Amino acid sequence: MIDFFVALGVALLSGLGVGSGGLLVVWLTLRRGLSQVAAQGINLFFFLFSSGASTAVNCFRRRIAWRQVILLSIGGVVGAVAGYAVLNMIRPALLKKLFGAMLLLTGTPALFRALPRRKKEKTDRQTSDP
Amino acid sequence: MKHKSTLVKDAVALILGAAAGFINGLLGAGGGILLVRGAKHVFPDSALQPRDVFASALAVMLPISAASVALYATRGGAIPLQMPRFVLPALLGGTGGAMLLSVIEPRLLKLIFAALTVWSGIMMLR
Repeated sequence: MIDFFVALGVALLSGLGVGSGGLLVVWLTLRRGLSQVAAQGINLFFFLFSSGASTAVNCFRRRIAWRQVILLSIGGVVGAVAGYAVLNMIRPALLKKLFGAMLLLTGTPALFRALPRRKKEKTDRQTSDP
Repeated sequence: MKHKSTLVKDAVALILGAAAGFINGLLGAGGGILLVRGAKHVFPDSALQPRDVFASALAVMLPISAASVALYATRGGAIPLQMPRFVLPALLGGTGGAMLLSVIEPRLLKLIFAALTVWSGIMMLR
């Protein structure tokens, strides 16, 4: 049951634009004892439904730049094949470390951006006032 | 000149997509953040709001994730049997999040999420 709520929370964060950052992978490896590759497989499968649901809603509510989406997707599919090929060449322990490094590299700048910056906001507001 | 600029943006889109796909294929996550960070080099300058850019990035992750799942499925044990139980929360959360996208300014959520990501990274590196 707890898996349900963890997955629900991750999907909600993803749909809100906060990010999901593979937190489900962390939960499944550190708490559920799954192998790194199995957890990644579940996360991808999970994201297929989560991003599919969000995109279905966004199609009606937001403007999607379809031309760019198609170009990015073409590159993305080629990149995914290359990434999977590399996955097959490296040891699981190294994969886990790479995953941890990816979280730190994406999380640290995001943390600094998310920290309150009252002084700057005040200045911005003053300069934007007519 | 404008035509050249479009060609450059298209080339950047292909490269950025490939980088996001590579990370997703290798690590099973993380491609989306790269797309959002590189969005200003790819998406039209004036046409899209940040939330539209995010919605577009999410749409890109759909085929990338589908390709990655198909690849992982060829590897024994990489697609475990417990997967179906994640479908319902994914659909509910994904729909709910997208519907709230225009309503909520998730500043505090972003802070909590970023702190959680950093903590998770440290745990994975131990």
